[in-house]
Amino acid sequence: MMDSAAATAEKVHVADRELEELIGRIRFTITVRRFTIAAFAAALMLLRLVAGVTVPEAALIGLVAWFLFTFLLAYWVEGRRQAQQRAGPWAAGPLDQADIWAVPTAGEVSVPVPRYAEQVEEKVDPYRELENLHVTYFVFEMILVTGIVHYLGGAEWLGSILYVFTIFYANMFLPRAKGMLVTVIGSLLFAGLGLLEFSGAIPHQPFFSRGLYQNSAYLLTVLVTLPFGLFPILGFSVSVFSEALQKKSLQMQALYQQLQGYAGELARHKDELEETVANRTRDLQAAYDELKRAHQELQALDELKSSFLANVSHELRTPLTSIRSFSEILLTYPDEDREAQLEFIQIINQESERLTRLINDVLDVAKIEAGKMEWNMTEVRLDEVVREAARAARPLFAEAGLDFEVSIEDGEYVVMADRDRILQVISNLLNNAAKFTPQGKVRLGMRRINDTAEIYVADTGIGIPPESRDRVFDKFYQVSEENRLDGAKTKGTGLGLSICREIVEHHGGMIWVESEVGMGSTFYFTLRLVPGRRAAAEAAATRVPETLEFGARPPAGDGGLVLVVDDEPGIRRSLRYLLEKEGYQVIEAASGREALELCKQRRPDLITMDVLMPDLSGFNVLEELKNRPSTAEIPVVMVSIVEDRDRGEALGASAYLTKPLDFPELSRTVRSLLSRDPRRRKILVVDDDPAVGRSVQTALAHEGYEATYVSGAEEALRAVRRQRPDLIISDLVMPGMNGYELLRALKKEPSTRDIPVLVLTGHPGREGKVTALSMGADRYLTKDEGLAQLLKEIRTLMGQRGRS
Amino acid sequence: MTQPLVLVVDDEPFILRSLTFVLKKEGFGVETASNGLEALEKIRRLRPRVVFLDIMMPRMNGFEVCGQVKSDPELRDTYVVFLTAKGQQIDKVKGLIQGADEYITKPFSPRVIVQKVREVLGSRQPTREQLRW
Repeated sequence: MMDSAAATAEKVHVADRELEELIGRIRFTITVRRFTIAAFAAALMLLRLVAGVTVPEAALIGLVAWFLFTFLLAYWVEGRRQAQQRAGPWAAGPLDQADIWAVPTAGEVSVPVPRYAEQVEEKVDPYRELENLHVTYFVFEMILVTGIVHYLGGAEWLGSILYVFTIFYANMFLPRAKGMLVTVIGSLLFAGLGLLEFSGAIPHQPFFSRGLYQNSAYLLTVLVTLPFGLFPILGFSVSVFSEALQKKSLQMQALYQQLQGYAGELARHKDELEETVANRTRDLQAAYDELKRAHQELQALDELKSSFLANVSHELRTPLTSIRSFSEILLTYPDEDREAQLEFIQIINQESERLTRLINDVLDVAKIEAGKMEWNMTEVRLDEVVREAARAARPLFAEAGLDFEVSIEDGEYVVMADRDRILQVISNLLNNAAKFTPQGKVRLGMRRINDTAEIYVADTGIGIPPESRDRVFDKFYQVSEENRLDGAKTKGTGLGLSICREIVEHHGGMIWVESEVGMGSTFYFTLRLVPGRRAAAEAAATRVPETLEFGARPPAGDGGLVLVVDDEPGIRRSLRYLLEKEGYQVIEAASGREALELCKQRRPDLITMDVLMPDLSGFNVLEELKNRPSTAEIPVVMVSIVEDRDRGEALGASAYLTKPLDFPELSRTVRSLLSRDPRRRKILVVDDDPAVGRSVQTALAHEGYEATYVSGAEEALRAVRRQRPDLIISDLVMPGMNGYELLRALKKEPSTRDIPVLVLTGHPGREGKVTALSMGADRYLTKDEGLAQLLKEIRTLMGQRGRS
Repeated sequence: MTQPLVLVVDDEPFILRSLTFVLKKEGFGVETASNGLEALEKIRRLRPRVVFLDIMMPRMNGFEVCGQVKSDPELRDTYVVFLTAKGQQIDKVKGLIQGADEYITKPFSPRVIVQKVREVLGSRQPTREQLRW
């Protein structure tokens, strides 16, 4: 497009120059003619006056000369025109392109088109201008001829006619101003001549006074010359130009239109380009802004991380300093009185707890980040959890001198949740409330809103400024010193609330805060309630006897034999001390191999097992123990810094605790494992018919067993892996994996091989019974044999396998 | 002549408690302050010979306290020891710490504190405890 536009523009330019040249030439010719006419007139007058030439002679000579001149001129012009056409239509010389048409190079957004279009606009109608020239030229000649004829011939009436004709013509075809000018000049000339004749300044020679013959020759000459000589020649000479000009003009117009088209196109193109450029610029700007924002966010995050590191470092070192200082003090001044020593030990204990909390927070965040948080989802009675959190936090508020209120609306609050994590959330919120409330009270409450439970912690503390409210749940974020009303130093890691949010959101709940600076804050979170689970939850609640709470001392001495396996002597020592205090007999092993050796000599009632040990890992030892029939039944409590509960439980561990050890928890766990009532043994019921499964489950629960129901074999295998049951009651015919396959899978796995299996089928048949029993089933019952028979068989089986 | 006085400034009560205990045991006079403003007030009033100064404190941080002390011609001779939690922080604040005479990173041993005080105050007749440290 650009190319053709350029070519067209070039053509227009050439035509334009030619046109200008032509017009110039016409102007020149007209001027020459004007002067020659004037010169001829003067020469004729001179001839007549001086040489006594008669008027008709002078007129004839003048007209012939005039005719010749005009003809020659026309001939010359035509010759030039033809010569030019032969040389090529646009051979008007090289074009200075750069001047008017800077060819746009890619990327350059200079737009020469409008410039050129303006130039074209100025000569918008060259044809019209030519017409004007033509007429002017004619009028001037007519005026001259009129004057000459009038003077030489003294023909007033002819002169008058010519005069009138000229004036008429001029006013008809010339623009108003030019027509007026011609009229004025013509009138002056005509009147001047008349006046001169009349006054006698020039001789008066009336047309008819010479006699008709004399004058008829003259008249004839004039009459013949005018139409056949003057006008055609004039017409011809002008028409030569005119034709050329007209052609050029048409060409120009066509070119101009074409060019206008191009110019429009160019303008459009330019607009498009500009739009594209604008769009790109906008996009670029947006991208830049985006980048800048991302960069700023990263920077902010980086700053947060730095301040987090500094904070963590500070928070780690502070308790560590106290622990170190006071332990050194205790060692250096052993003679110090007992009271002071106790105070220091309490400080050490308190500060180590603080350190533990901090490390746990950091680890929790790391785990959440890595998606490695382990969730132990069970049905939980939320009101119990809230009460427990309240119980644990009470001393904290008492110490801080704050009132503490708990209000739980009556109702059922059963949720699917990780009990410990929910407890962590509530404790965290309570701790925060205590931390940021200088005086007043803290309220912990729970209410039911449709099918969700809402838990809130309201304080009368310093509050959170609005700009920080959305961010308090962000990682590392802490309300900065400047933003805090009390101006106190920001403490802690800034992780607590972010962990709370992760936990609550994992449970499908929401957490938010409402706050007013200086008045206090209220943190809320919600959890979805499990509908219609009253019975199960209550059963679950009764399953945890209150006597297992920490602090209730077991009867001394009959607690049984506990094997403590750990490569750290300090930990062995502390576990031995604590377990002996609880009334157990304790033996120690410093390595996995030693533990396995010891188990051959003495059969412990329970084992606590470290995981990371130099020779054999705790998991390997656990596996080995479960593989030996003599030790497979010994409950093993894994005690580790490695959180791999799933693996531990898959291998048959009875419980999994993490270091640093929470002693009350350990105590509870050991007690519950050792004092297990045989009638509270775990039974897994597998049946694809929920009616049968549930009724068996209920019956077993009534009998005091801890019965779990699953509807399929695959699910059963998962449940077994999660928690090893003491007995499995399984149907044979089930969709998907059937009872035989379940048996095979159970018997193949070393850790599940010795779980007794009772087959309970609705389709009695001798063949099925033989197959099932040969595959390792311990009992074979049909569903129509009745519940009493089933319970009897279970009692027999449990009795056989029971711990002696 | 009164005992040479040591001022310990920290917002952690347990750190104050341990240092007070040890320094008193070693026979030095000890005063404590739990924020920057209190520290400055006590430095002006009690003119301690040595000041142990925590950095992150409410009201006025350790750097500001140190700056004020070191720019006061009367207090300039006070020996200022920063108690810092070593971390990234230390690089950032090195310039600021230069104003102080020394810094000790947490967790420190009380022994180091006692030695430092003894060094600054010039050794007197060694006490029983001194020999033990």
